[in-house]
Amino acid sequence: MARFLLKRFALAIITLFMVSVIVFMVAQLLPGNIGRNVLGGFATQQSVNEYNHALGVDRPVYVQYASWISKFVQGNLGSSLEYKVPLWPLLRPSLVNSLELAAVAFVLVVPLSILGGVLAALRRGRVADRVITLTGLSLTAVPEFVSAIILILVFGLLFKVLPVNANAPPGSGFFTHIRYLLLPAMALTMVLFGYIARMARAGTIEALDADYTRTAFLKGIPTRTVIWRHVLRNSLLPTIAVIATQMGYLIGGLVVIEKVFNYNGIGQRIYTAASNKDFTMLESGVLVIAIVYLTAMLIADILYSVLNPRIRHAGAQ
Amino acid sequence: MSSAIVLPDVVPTRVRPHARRETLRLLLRSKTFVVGSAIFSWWVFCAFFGFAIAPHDPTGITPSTLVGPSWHHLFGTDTLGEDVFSRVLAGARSILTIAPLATALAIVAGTTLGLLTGYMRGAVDDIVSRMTEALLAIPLIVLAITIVVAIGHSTAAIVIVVGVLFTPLVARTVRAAVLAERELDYVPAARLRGERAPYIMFVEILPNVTGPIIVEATVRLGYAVFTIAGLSFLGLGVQPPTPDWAADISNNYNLLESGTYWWTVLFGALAIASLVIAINLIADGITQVLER
Amino acid sequence: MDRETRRQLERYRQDEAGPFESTFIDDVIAGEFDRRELLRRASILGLSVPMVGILLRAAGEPAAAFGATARAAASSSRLRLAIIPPPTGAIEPLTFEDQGGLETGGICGEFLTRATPSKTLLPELAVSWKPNANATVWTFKLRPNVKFHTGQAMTSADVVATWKALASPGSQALSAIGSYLAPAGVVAVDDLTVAFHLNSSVSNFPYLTSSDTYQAIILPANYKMGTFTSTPQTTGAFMITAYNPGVGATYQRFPGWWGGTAPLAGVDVTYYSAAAAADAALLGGQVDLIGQIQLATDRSLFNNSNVQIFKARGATHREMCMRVDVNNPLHDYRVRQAIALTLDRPAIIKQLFNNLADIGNDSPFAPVYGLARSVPQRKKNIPKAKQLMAAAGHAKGFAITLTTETTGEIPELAQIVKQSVKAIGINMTLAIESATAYFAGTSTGPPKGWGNTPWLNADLNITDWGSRPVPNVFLVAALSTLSKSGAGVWNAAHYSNPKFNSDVKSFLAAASFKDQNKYAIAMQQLLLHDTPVVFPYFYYYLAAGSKSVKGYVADPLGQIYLSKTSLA
Repeated sequence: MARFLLKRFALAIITLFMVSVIVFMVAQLLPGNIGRNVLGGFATQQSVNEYNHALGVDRPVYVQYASWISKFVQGNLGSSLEYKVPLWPLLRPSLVNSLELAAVAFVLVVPLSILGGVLAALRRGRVADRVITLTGLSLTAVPEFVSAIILILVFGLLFKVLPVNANAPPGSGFFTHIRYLLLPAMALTMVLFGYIARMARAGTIEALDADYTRTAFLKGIPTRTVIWRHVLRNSLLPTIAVIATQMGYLIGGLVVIEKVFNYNGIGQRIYTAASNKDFTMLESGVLVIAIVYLTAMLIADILYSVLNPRIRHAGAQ
Repeated sequence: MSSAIVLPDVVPTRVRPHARRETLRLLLRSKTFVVGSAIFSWWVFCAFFGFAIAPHDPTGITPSTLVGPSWHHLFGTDTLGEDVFSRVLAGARSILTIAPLATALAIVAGTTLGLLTGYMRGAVDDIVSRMTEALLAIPLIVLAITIVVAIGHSTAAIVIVVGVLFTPLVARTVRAAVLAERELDYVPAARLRGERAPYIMFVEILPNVTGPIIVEATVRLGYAVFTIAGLSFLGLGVQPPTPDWAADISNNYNLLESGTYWWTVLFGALAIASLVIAINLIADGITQVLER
Repeated sequence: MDRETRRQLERYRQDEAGPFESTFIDDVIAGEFDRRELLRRASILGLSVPMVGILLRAAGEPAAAFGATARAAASSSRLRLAIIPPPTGAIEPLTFEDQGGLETGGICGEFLTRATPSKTLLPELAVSWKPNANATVWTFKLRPNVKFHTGQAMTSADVVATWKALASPGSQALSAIGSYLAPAGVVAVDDLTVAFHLNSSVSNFPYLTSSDTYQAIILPANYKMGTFTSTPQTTGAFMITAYNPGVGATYQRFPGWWGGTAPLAGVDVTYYSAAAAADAALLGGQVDLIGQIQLATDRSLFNNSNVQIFKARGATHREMCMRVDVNNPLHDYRVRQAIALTLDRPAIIKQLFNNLADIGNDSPFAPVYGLARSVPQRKKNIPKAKQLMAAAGHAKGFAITLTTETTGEIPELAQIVKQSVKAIGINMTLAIESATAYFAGTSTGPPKGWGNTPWLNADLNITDWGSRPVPNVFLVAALSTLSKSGAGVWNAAHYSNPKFNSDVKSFLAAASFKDQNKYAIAMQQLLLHDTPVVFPYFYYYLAAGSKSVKGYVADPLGQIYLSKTSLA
């Protein structure tokens, strides 16, 4: 187990390194002279050069990369080119917000879709299965901005029961925060429900058809116990894998949802950074997202191996 | 062909025509596939002839703005007095140009990469697998936005961005299929015959992994539609006045909050949803038949 | 005019008035102005309230209730304000160039004078001002007992330091004041008096010290760049106490404000990047006021019984600039005229603004300025446009790209232009960029002196322009020949006409309305002939609030001035 974890961890570190290289190279693609962009067209060439020199962007690319990444490792994210303030105080609240939204969405969507998936599998081919599968399929097919708008219209403006912007006023309590996050979390639930329910359904069907389930039934163990002990546990395996892969999207990929609900998430931060050519914010922000994503994947791996003894003993893949 | 080696029923050239006909027969009997294909074909038809069959000029600005649905304007008109019905019909063209092109790019590049890594294994495999992991760790829409901002937004840029970003995902699927194939007897057989690696990969293995590739292609197409719609919604899509479902939704959704003018958004949204559902149904149908 | 009024006027003429004031009095007696214009011009010259009363009597107008607005009592309520779009860059008054930034700074900052929506000028940190004989030196008396949020008292040293910086390289205010004022021209006369020595005579200079030169927030002499949002150190009714880039800002009532106590206890600003999200917040009761709205982007707020719309008629406009110096059909003035003649302006105003706009006549003389009104309005005329195209050798039309930005209604305007010019055979392609991309790059230097930014160099483009109480900036920065003094820096059409340049100079120096109008008419006619820029309309600046917002007045430039605002 320890060896397996260690290997997973090492791989995650290598992946992080690759992410940093990729994002650094992509940021180099953004055109324009930083000093000129920041100081404006009226600044003299000399002051532009001085600015670039002070920032270190007149050095070779690999030197810039080394300097950036070594500072990043020491916890120094540098400061935003756009706002001229340190990055971490900007990114941290956004990251926390994104995690909060993801958490609320998880609490809504995971039980709901696993329940739906298992139910559909148990009623395979019958009306309940059709309804759940079709609902899931249709919801998945509606772009998130459309479902978000519908939710705002119905709950925010027609019945006025939920706030339409997701940022709770500063200083509000736990439940107020959740209340503000309900609409975007519901929009995410609509996007993810079909996807996760489908995986849960497939996993359950596979488990139901498996030999050990038949044996259990033949042994005369009550249906409920069989399902609870054997089927559910095995149907969860692929579901966990799917949920883990959605972490990247949930943390940082919600640009559209955050825009529609005016939520200060990290996706919105990075989107703004990209469109404003705030190189430093873009690079560090993406790397922060990648760290969160890979941590989530690592946790999912551990969960997976705990639930599935075969992997635990066989080592990584 | 050497008779010393047992050849199971995987000799591609002999079995495939028959198998393909069989697959097609099964597909046509699958309700899921048929319904999906029907909807999809309708939108493909619109992509080609939408501008021609539209009752009004899809980009024709008129003084009758924000008129509700009527016989004259089936889906009403938008803020510029353009006919929404005509724009929905003609709007199929932009998405059904960009999404399939991007998917095709991803499939070609991803298949090549998947074959290479799955067959060669070793260092190549390790590096590409890490790259794939790394790309997956970066939210796709964020990467897409950054690159589109960097190279300027044009149709070609969007095709390339989405295509390149989907490539590692395709490669991953193809690699898994190739890993299973290379354990089968026909691969060592070919190697023993002295065939070279490119021949084995593209002539021997490729025909046997077309199933997963086709499934992957349909699934990717659905995601491509989504991703491109998202970019369009954020203002990184085609230039106005080109009709585009997501861009039209983005331009008009602020109207909804007044409680009226729903027709400016609803029909475009339905169009996107029906296209994605159609693609999903096709993917489901193919998966069921191929996995039978 | 009764004898008493005449006697008072004559005494003023002898004792106080310089030539500028005298000319103005002559104009008033000659009946050149309506009431509004009279008040406006009196305020530029810094005439005292009793004097304005005398002049109104002289012109036969009822007396004015000048600047006396009732203010609600202090309360504990806080205003929730939506600002769209979020400020770009750091909040640094000297370098303000975006709407979000100027609004964020303007809530806590104050200026020497404040321009009102009716274009009169109110005393703010200056209490009075006066020109010398040829309006090359303007002397401002400062308000005594003004405290910065830091507690220190404001003196002429602070004003001089602020204004020297504004006139120095790196200041974004240079486009407005750079051609008249050098840093050395700002001089402290005594502790509460500052004199501005200008390079040339400028009869409406006090406007340039107002809230419309939004960079000119008065800061302490010991102000350090980069500390604006971390330390409250302006003089306004509210002080900024928290700022989170891209997210929001918090302001508290300043107890030591010279103007007394503001009704609101504070202001909570939320930044929005999507108009629809802000609209939903107002309709859903999450914000009280949105600083800027438009029919094109916020239609759901119009005709809504729960929303009040605040209007400010001004000179906010769009300029469609046609490069006069490139080797394409736009080079020919007849082609440019033909393009301008294809636009059905009344229909455009109806479609894009529901008529909350004035028609433009392809010059910066917006109807609100009251200048050059005698020149006939350009109207849609396709036969004439076709004739001009044929005369220019383009009877069959041509293809061209229109480059512009996704701001407000501009994408819709671009589509209307594209459809309009089809009638004369022009096949227009649209290239609509984000505002960031549109304004990116350098704006000075090679190849032609305007760098490489799209907005100053695209063959054909549409750019957004804020309102100004006087047309100086539009005339000098956007239409004059590029020169070292700062003229022509925003001349996107690369227009250059010596006659026009000299008319601008004469216009700025002219004292009497008659002379100003004479030069305005000359420039208007030149611009109609050359048509380097199409000014299709001047639209009203709009803000939207819930019904509980009281005492708010929209500002044509978008300043959000809340010292008299309250919540019912």
